[in-house]
Amino acid sequence: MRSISLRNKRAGFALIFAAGVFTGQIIPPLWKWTVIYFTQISYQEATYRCDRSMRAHLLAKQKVEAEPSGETVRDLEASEIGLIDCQDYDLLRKRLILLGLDETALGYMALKAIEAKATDLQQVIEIHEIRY
Amino acid sequence: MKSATRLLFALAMFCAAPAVAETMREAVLRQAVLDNGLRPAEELWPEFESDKAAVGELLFESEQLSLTRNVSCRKCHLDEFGSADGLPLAHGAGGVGTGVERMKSPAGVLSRNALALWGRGGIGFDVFFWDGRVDASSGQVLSQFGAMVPSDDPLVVAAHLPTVEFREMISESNDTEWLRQGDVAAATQIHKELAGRIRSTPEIADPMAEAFDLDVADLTYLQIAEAIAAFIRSEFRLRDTKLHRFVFGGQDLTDRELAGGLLFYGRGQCAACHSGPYFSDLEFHAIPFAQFGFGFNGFGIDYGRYNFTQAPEDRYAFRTPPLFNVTKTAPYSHSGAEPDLAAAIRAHVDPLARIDTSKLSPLERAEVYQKIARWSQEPSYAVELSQQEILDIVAFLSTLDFDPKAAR
Repeated sequence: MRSISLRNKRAGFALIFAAGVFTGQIIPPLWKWTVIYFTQISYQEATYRCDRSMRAHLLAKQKVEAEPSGETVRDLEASEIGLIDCQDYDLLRKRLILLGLDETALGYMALKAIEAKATDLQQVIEIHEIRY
Repeated sequence: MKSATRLLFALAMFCAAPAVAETMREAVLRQAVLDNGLRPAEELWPEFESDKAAVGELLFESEQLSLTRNVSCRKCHLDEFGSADGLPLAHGAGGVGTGVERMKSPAGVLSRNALALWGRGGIGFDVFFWDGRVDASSGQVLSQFGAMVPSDDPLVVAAHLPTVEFREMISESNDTEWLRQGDVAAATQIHKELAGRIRSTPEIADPMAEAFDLDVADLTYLQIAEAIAAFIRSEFRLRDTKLHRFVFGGQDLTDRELAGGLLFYGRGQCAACHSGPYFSDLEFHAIPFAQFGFGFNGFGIDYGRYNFTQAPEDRYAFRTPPLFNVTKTAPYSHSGAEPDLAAAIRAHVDPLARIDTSKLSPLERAEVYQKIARWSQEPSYAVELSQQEILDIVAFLSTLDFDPKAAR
């Protein structure tokens, strides 16, 4: 009688252990995909906004260099304020890391963001082309 | 007990810290507002004599200044509409009532939207009307009067104009047909007639003579215009707003107001033109608003500033409107074509979203192309703003409101 109950107990422990291992393996990716699912759109938007603001800032700097004037300097100052979009992007990234996403997951989301906003292959080419 | 107090104090400090600390965004917005010229309202208050302003109020309310005695200045500058009239196009001589009721009345319809009067004649405010037909920005008053300009005060010169405008303060009829020549001599004749009327109205003429230290017989239209200018400077001077309290007093803005402010000074490029203490550079810019009504140049066309400079590059350009109390002065644009502020902002950055070109005639479409070509030289050309971002800018603009009644 005693050996049957011992065997049952061991089987129970093994089952709990197996369930633990299974949960440990399944839950993290499940959690990650859930977070990705719910935050993908905001992350796409933030990525796009930061990219747009960086481009605007670069253009404004180039305009000041090419044609320094009150107007181009004012344009540059406005584009500097626009870079707050990138602060929002960074804050969102940090929040997602706190929620458990790693660089691979964020990289995946960034690629999806580029794909969502790109109108042609150009951006994909820029990322993947071999530069000599 | 001591440790419990310490713990409570530490908790209170922890919770309070984010509330009292100035965030980076607040600091950026404060600096941008200051860099773009906001000053305490009192610093912009012009000098005026209160007894002249008191007479000016009587004149502002009087239909005696209408050659056809059927409208006063007040009829188009009402508190309830933020000192404008709430209509797309101003409805002047012969109009009855306010709002839609006025539109239904036999009023003379002008080709442009009635402007609000906030800040007019304040320090540094020296360009008047949509097309800048009175412009003292060069230090010299340029106006339709040419070399016969009646005063070196541009607001006084501006106060000479509405009373000689057809449909604005003069009804069209056979009796007034001779005025169509529209020259300075005709304007002078009208001004003489109006001054004569005021001289024979003791309830206005007596305090006016006293305020100007003249005999009633010596009063001319110049004193009428000076009194009206004094009243406008007194009545419509700026007051401090929530934005002033944010910048100079540390009051908080809501998250949306803050976000809107950063867009206004940042990516939205609004401050490229809406800058300076009046939120206007008092210069001329072309925004491709839809045209409502017949237009100043007829057939739905309004060339704006061009009408006074004859410079082709000035076509479709209008003076940047100041923004104090802007949430109260709908509808917007030179012809009042935009019903609300969000639509007006959309038209600044993305006009095609507001125009169904398939329903336009070839002439109207040609006009759209011309306006867009001119707009392409403006800072607001093709700025991408989402609807939420536009609403944030509207929230920011609401921080420029003040209640004139409370301030009086």
